[in-house]
Amino acid sequence: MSPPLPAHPFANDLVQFLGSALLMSAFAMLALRRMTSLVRIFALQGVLLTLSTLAVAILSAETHLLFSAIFTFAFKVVLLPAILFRLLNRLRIQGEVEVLVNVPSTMVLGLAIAVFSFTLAGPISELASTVSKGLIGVGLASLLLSFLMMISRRKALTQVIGFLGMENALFFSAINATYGMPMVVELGVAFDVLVGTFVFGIFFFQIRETFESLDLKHMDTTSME
Amino acid sequence: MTPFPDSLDTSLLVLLAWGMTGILGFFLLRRSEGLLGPLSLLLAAGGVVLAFSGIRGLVRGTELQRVLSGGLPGLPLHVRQDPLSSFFLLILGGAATGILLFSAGYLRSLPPPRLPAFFLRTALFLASMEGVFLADDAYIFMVFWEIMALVSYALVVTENDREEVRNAGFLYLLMAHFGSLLILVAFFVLATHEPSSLSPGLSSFTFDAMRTSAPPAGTALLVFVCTLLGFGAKAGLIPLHVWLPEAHPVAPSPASALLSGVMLKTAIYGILRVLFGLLGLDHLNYAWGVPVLLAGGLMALFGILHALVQSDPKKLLAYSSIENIGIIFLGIGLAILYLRSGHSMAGEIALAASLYHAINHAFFKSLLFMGAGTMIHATGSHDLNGMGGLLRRMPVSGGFVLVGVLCIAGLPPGNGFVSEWLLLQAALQAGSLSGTLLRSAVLLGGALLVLASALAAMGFVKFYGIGYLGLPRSEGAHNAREVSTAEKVGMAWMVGGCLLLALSPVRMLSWIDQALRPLTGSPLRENAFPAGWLWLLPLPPRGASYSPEILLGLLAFLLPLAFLLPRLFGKSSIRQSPVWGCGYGTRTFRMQDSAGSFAQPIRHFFANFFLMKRHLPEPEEKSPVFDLTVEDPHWAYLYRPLLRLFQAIATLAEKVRSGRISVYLVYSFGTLIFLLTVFRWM
Repeated sequence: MSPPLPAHPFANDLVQFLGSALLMSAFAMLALRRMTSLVRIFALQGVLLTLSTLAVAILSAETHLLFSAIFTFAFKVVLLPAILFRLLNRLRIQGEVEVLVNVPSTMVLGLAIAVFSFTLAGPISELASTVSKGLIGVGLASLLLSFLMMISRRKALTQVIGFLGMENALFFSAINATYGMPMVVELGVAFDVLVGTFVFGIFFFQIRETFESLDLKHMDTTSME
Repeated sequence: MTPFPDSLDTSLLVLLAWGMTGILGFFLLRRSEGLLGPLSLLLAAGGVVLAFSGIRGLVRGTELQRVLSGGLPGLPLHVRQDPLSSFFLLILGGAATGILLFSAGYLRSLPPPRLPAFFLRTALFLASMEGVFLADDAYIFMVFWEIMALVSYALVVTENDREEVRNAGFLYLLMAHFGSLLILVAFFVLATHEPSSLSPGLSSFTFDAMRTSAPPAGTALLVFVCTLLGFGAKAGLIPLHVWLPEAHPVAPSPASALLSGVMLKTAIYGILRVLFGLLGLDHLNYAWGVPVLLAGGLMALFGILHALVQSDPKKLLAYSSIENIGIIFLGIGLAILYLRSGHSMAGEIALAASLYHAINHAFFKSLLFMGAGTMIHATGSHDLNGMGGLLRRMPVSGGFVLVGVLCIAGLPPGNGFVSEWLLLQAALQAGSLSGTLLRSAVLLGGALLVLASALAAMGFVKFYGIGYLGLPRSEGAHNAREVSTAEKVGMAWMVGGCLLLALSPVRMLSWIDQALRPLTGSPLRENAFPAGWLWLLPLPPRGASYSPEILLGLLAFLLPLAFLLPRLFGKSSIRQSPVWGCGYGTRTFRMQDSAGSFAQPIRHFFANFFLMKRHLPEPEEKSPVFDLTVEDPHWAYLYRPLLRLFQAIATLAEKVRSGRISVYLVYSFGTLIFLLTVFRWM
C-alpha cells in the first residue's frame, strides 16, 4: 500500500457528504410512492456509490478501488436501472407503491433503526483503520433501511429494489471498513446481483401470468390447504 | 506372480462386473425380457467367483490392501480384503448365486415394465454390499453403505402402487438414515483419536489409522454405543426393528431373500469391523458384553414369539430373522464378555458361533424366503390360511423348503444346530467367570437361546404344517403348480449350501478361525480340532463333541430300522376300515388347525409380549365375527408416543409459518437485529 496522498482539505468532507447522501437516498426509497422514482433513486444510489468509491480510492491510493468504481458505474448506474426500467415498461407497472405499513410509521421506524445502527457501528469504527471509517454506521443503517423496505412493501418489484439497495449498502460498508473486498469477490457479487435481477425478471412474468398480478399476497397461500 | 489375479483383484472385478451387468441389463431388458435368464446367469457367475475369492482369502488367511486412485481429490479409495471380509464375501457370493438363479425363473411373473429397473437395482445392491465388505476407509464405507440403503429402499418399494409398500419403504428409509447418522458419529469419534503421527493436521479417516487410535474409556463407550445402535438399526436390533417385518415381506421374494439373508449380515460385519477391528478389543470393557448378550437373548425370544403369531409366511420369516440376528448378537455379547475377562477359548467359540450362524442364516433364510415366494405365487395368497396341501402339488420345492425348515429349527444334523450348539457350549462355560451376576446373566442368555430355538422349531412346524401339509385351504392352493426349473435350481443351490455347512463344521470352523484371528489375536489353537475332520470338539480336552456325519449315519441306519421292524415282526395282516368319524360325516379343510389357532397357546402363555385386541361377538349380534389383531407393543408404547410428540412440536412450529413472504422477512430482520444487539452489548 502506497502512503496516502496528502489529503485535500475537502476530500474527507466529500466522502462524508456522499455517505450522508446515500443515507438520505435510503430514506427516500422508504418515503417515495412512485415506482419509477424508486428506480431512479436506485440509479442515484449507484452514482453516489461510484463517487464515494472513487473518492476513497483517491484518498487511500488503492488502485483496485478505481476498477471497483468502474464496475459499480457499469452495473449499478447503467445496467441494472436499464433492466428495471425495461421491466417496468414490459410489465406496464405504473402508479403507486402499495404498502403494508403506512409511510409515516415506516419513516419513524427507519429513524429508530438509523440510531440503532450508529450505536452499533461505534466500536467497529474505532477498530477500523481506513480513512472513511466513520461511515460504517451509514452503511449499516442503509442496509437495515433497505431491509425494512423489503418488509413493508407489497409488490414483488419493490422487494427486488430493496434487495439491490441492501447490496449497495453492503458494498458501501465494505469499502469504508476495509477498502473493499478482494476484486474477485466484488466481481462475483456484481454478477450474482445481475443474474439475480434477470431471474427476478423472469419470475415476474411467470408470476403475473399465473396470478395476473404482482401482488405478493397471491403467493401467501403456501401454507397447507 | 501367479497367473490368477489375487483374491482382492478378483473381488474388485466382480464388483465392477456386477455394476456393469446391472446397467447393461437395464437397457437390454427393455428391449427383450427373454434375456433375463442369461443376464441372471451372468450375475450368478459373479456370485460363484466371489464366493471362491472369499474361500481363497480364508484358506490363505491373506490380507490384501490397495489404494485406488479416483474418488474426490485428496481422498483416494482404500480397499482391503482381510479374512473377515473374505468370510462375508463368501456369504454374499454363496447366497447371491442361489438367489439370482432363483430369480431368473421367479421374476417372469413381475410385470414386464418393472423388470429392467428391478434387475438394475438387484445388481447395484449386490455391488454395494460387496463394496461395504471391501471398504478400508470411512469415506467409501459410508458411500457404499448409503448406496446399499438407497438401492435396497428401491427394492422394497418395487410394487409401489400399494400404499402399505410405500409406507414400509418410508419407515425403512427413516431407520436407515438414523442408523447411518450414528455410524458416522462413531467414525468421526474414532477419526479424531487417530494418532497424530499418522495424520498430521486432518484426520485421514482410513481404517488403518483408526485401527491405531487410542480413545479414552468414555469415548470408547460412545463409539461402542453408536456402533451398536447404528448398525443395530440395520440389523433389526430391538427396539429399532419395527421396519424389518414391514419392509422385508413387501419386496419381491428374491429381494426379500437378499435383504434378510445377506443385507442383515452387513450390519453384523460392520459391528465386528468397528468394535473388534477398528476400536480394538483392548478398548472394550467386559461388562459391555452383558447388555449386548441380554439384548440378543431378548431379541431372539421376542422375534420368534412374534414370528409364531404371524400368518403371512414372509412376515413370519422376517420376524424369525430378528430371532436369528438376536442369536448372533448373543454370541457377540458373550465374546466380548469372555475375551475381555481372560477366557479367550470360550470367547473365540462364541464369536465363531456367531459367524457360523450368520452364514447359516444367509443360506436357510434365503431358501425359505424363496420358498415363501413360491407358496405365494402358487396360491395367490399372502396368508398361510389360504395355503395348505402344497407338498402334494409342489413336491420338489416343498422338499427343498423342508430342508430349510429343519435347518432353521436347529435340529441335528442341520446347520442351524451346529451354530446354536456351539453358542450354547460357549454359554455353558459361565462357571469359569467370576461374579454371580455375570454368571447368571450368561446362563440366562443361554436359557433364552434354548427357549428361542425350541420356539423356532414350533414356529416352523406352523410354517410348514399349515402351508404344505393338510388339505388345501383355498381354490388357489388347490390349483397350485410346481415351480420352474430355474427356481428349483436356485433352491437346490441353497439346499446344497445348507448341507455343506451342516456336514463339514470342522472345515468351516477352521475358516472362521482364520477370519477371527486378526480380530481377537488368539487363534482357536492349532490343535483346536484334535479329533480331525470327523469330530467337532470345540473345547478340548474334555468338552462336548459332535459329529454330523456319524449322527447322519446313525439316523440313516435307525430310520429304516424303525420303519422295517414293525413290518417284519408286527402282525402281518393290515386291516383297512373307515376312520371313526367322530360324528362328523365329512372332512373339510375348515377342521384343520388354522395359522391363528396354532399359535393360540403361545399368545396365551407369552401374553406380555403382544398387544392384542380381541373382539368377541355379543350374543345378539346379527352376523357375529370373532376378530383378533396382534400388534408389536413397540408401536403402542414407543413409536406412536414419539410420533405424537413430533406432531405436537410440528403443530407448534406451524404457528410460526404463516406463509406470508413479508412475515418471513420480518423474521430474518428481527433475527438480524437481535444478533447484532447481542454481539454489541453482550
